[in-house]
Amino acid sequence: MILCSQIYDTLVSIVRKDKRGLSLSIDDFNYTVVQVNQRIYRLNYSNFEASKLSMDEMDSFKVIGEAINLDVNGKGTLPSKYFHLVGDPYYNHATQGRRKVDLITSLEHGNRQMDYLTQATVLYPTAYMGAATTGEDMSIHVTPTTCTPIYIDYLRQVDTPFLDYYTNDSTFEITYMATGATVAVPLGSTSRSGLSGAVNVTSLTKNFEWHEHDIPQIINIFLGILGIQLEGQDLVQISSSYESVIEKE
Amino acid sequence: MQRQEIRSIVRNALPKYDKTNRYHDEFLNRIIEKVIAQMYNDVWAISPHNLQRYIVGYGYTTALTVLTEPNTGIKYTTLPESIIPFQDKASGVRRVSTVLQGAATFFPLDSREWDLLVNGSYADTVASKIGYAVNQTRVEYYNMNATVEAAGVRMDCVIPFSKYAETDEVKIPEFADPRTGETFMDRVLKVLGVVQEVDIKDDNASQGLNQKDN
Repeated sequence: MILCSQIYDTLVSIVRKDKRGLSLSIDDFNYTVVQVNQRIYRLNYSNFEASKLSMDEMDSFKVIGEAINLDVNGKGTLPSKYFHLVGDPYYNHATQGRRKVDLITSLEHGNRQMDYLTQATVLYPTAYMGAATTGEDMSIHVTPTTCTPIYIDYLRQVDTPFLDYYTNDSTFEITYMATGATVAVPLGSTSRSGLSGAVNVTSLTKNFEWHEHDIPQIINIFLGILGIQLEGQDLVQISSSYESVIEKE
Repeated sequence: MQRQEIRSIVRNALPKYDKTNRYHDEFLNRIIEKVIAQMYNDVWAISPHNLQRYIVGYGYTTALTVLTEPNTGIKYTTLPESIIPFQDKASGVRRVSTVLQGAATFFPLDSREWDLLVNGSYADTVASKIGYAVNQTRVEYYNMNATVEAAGVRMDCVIPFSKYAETDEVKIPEFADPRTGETFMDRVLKVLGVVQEVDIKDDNASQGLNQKDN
């Protein structure tokens, strides 16, 4: 885990070019961090479990053995933070124990259901993906429909970092809020959401889920984006030249 | 080796891991079955008696029932399990016996021989010899007396791979094909080697070819 405030402070100290004002507001940071966070996730995902070395990076997002209950039509709704299925689903047969559920495409499903040997059975079930009902993300459709529950390993989506704060009305001093806390905003200060103190607010701060060794990569991607925002061509160039170096490290 | 072990050996000899479901277990079972059946026939060709090493016994604990077909009067027993056919009279039923050893003896018959025997042969007068003729679904008996019929019979059969339970021991002849030198694994993998990868791209085109107009 990396503190959101740590990244923000680092960035501010790097990109500040003069003393006239804040070159990167916290709100700018919160808008930009979505893109940065997703980019790192994608970079790591592209190398997911390609080797022992790459396991550590993404496996902290891997949820193991999630039970998915099927309805009478064999449909199970995938978790709300589901991103990608890892390995093969399975279910526990009453007498034969663990049975693999073949994940197949709709094309293959249609063909296999017409084939004597490879059609789905309780010993050799199949599944394919589809849309869920309104408001849900995705569902898995299992044949035969009685193979419930199935168990899946999946990669979940990464949480988006956020830095919450309040500002002193007189000195404009900014105070960061801790993650998950109820913070007492003192008299004479205003929360990010516009509430004047003294008042209790729930902090929305969420830290990075990445590891300490990812800090150079996070900072570098930030700099590339901020260089465009701040029209600082030197930042863009530095970020670009560092990118390949950091990825090799 | 157990049935599940044999399939596992074959699967582990294939490219790992099968991410496009190229080889389904049921398909592997049938290929193994075909090869073993061929090898049993090779055994038979060398010496039919050697098949005794590969039989499965039925009716040893509870006798197999002998029935009489109303329209024809033929006494018969429904095969306790599907058999591998061989090119002799006994086919996949290598032996039939009374439950208690030696009460009467059974000999494989051809249906035409049966017709000859019934047609006034002296052999028809022998009471302790019972002929049996094997077809696809049942074993028919010639000259079975009422006592044997009531007691039922037992059989030694050669059955296909798919009829064994997963944990049953299945004996595979441990010799190479005398003509080609191929072992069991060679033969199975030779068949599986022609199986193409699954084309899961839904593009109305053959694998590796460009999209064609409909």
